[in-house]
Amino acid sequence: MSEPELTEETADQPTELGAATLAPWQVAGASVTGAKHVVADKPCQDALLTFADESCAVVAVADGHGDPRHARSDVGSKLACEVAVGFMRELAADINSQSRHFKEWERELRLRVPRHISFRWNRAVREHAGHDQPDGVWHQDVDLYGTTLLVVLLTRRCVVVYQLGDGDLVLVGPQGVRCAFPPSDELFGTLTWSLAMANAPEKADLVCMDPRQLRLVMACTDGIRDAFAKNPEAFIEVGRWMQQRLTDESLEEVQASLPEWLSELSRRGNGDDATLGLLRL
Amino acid sequence: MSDDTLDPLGAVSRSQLHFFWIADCSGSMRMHGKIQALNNAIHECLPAAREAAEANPFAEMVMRAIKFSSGAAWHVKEPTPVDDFVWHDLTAMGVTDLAAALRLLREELTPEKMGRRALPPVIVLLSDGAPTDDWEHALMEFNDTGWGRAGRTVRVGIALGKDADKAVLAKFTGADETVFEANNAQRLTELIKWASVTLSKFASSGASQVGGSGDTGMPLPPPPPVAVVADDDDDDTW
Repeated sequence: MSEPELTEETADQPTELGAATLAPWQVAGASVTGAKHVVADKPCQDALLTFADESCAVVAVADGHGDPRHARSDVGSKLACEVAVGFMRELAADINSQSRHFKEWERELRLRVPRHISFRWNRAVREHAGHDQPDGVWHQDVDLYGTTLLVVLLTRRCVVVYQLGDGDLVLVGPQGVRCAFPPSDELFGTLTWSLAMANAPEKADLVCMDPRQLRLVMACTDGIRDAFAKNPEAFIEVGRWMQQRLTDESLEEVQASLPEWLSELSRRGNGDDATLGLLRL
Repeated sequence: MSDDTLDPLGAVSRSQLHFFWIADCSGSMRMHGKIQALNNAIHECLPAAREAAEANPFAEMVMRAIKFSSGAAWHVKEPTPVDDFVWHDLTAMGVTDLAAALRLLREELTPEKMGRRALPPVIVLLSDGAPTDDWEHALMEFNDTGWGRAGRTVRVGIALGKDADKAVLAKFTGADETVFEANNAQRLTELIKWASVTLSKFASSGASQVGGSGDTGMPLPPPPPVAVVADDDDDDTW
């Protein structure tokens, strides 16, 4: 495959719901309103934002909680993705400017990333809620915007994987397919952690990896795993299947088919919104 | 195309909603025809539950039942789609071994048998008296299992008659507000229908709940209002 050109437009702007083929990495993804929400005429509470240029690639997905207590969670999930992509791009510049081992970065970023993302999300949400020049300190009003957040940042030296709440970051590499983080012992059923929690940074997971360990990272909201509830092994197979598709087909072909695939998954499954972000190395 | 490239959509299925009846069959349930009223109420609720399940294409409701008196046993052991669920009438005799019922429930509500990702199971405990065994210890053990912890299930208690120990039911459900009194057969039927239709719909909404706060989850939808009973109906009151 020839190396696609880097255009000014795609380099400077986040690419939402579209594929950006910026070698040596590619991002794609889709987010669809769940079949249940279509019937009920409710908005999609998931969000997806991707970015790629020559220095880094970022994929962020978020799943707004969707119940009446979190009535603005569709806004909360979009703001979470915007905040995450913005912060990760700044972090990428930092990572690219230093020659540190990814394990060194991990020790630092486990504290830094969750705190910064929570701070910026709280600030963005409070601005949306009409607070006057808010800082990023938690306030009870952010509860309305509750959402999960899953982000992967790829730089040439380091992959940063962050997760708060349910959903899955599926890692596909030479050693096989696995989820970045094991399921929390504390989260059963539909329970999740949320950016709207005052102690959200403590609940986030983060790991840094060597990019050479990976071929593909999939960021999935829980609508995808839950569609395989009777057959959890099949969920992991999605990673293998997607990697094979990306070998057999162009990214554009895969990208074009994703919305219908996700809609069909939602129709056959539990009707939830479904979002899948792809980062191919 | 090789097998390992088959589209995983073939493995997609609806979520299961697990629904448990926990029915007291102690000897006192014979008085005033309470056990027959319970049997009748569950027979009556099933058509509406099937209709509600049919109207929800995104969840498969499966029912089970435990009976307890002197000991406890599965009345319906296998998770049975509500369309195929058959209620065989219970008979009443013996004491009120709630602990034995809770131990049976605990054995099923494990992450090994239920997985971790599922709709919150609905558990309806029906009783007319006070437990005669070490129910508090059994409840503590149940509440300490994966699915037994606060906020992971939807629990209601239905107290049949004024002699029912509502405090015990509230300990089971986690709140006074989730214990409802049925003082006659009509009210019992209303509550059982509400539990099997409205609560199952509520539990299958799939909306995320923010965990870790120790709360008992989202507030339940309200039960049907209590009808005014005429004075000459006293003979039918439990």
